[in-house]
Amino acid sequence: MVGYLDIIGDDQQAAIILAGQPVMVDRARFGRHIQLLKRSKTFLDALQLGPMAAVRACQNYIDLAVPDEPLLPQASGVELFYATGILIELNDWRAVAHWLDPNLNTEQMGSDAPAPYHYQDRFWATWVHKLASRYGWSRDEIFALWPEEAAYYMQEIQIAEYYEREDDRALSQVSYKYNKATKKSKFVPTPMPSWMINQAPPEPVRTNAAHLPVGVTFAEDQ
Amino acid sequence: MLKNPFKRKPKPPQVTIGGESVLVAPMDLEQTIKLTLLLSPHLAVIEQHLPRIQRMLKDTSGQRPQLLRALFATMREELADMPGDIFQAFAILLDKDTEWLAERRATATDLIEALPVLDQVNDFSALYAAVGGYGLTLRYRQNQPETGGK
Repeated sequence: MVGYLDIIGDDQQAAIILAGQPVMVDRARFGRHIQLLKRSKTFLDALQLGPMAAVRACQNYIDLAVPDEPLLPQASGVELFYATGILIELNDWRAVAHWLDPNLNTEQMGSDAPAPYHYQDRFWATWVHKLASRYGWSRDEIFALWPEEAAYYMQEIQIAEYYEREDDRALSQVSYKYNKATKKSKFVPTPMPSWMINQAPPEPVRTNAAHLPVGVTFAEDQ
Repeated sequence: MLKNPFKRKPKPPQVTIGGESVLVAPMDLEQTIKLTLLLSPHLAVIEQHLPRIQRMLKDTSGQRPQLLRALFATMREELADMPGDIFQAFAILLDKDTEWLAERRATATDLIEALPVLDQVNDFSALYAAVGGYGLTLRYRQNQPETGGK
């Protein structure tokens, strides 16, 4: 697991070869990272559509990932194609915050139909909205964060919002359910998101010994 | 005799196809991606069957070619498009049309002998690494049925 202090370190670069020369490329900060995520998905999907779409998508990706690089026009096709893979890996998420982990988010994310006020890339706009509202940062300051750093701050904001909501709710009668039979009120805590709850370890699958394979097995490539 | 003070420019790499000399230039991005998408299904077939072929050659010390022929016979469907696609791949690498190659009566020897020069100019190992990195061969391997029994 990559920690917060590892993420905010400075040595986030990769080397690519352009026109036979090694070029060091800095990892993208949050603002460029989210645009590169979209372009990398477009490129990887385009590889399944055909060469022309893939060429355009690859050029779009490289133009944003390595802006104003003088060696780009002289680089060969193989160098560009190989470099794109390195850059996609460089600019991918290095760690997944708990609230973004699909394995930990077990609630349904609402109905399939989007809200009437939904727009494309709204998810990223909410990041800017929450970080700006909470910390008073500008959009440029937010876009200058490392991607995982922004995700961790978003997680802390959501945790703080949960406990603030819990504190407010605990002071009102809404959180106390009255039982007519016992004539007592019972406190009902605010439901916690699944990613904030300790996940129970999976139960071991017990297999009948008679169903286990017998003998010595080899993998095909041995 | 005085030495020529001007440095000689290195000769550009070239290959001989059907008796004609052809200059080899690095592929551009469009050619690279066309070549990659053309050859990915065949690379997947090679990756899938190469360990078995290598094991067969090792076990028989290469003395039983009929076993290899029998194995290729079971792969006939998978290999059906390979010769045509490889011919087209050479056309892309040489930046020519397939008709041009056919008119020059390019032989298999011409194409095989051109491979080291083409590799030197285009770096096939980087191209192969990129193909694997993008999961292009894995996609085709997952879609292929098993052939020829283990």
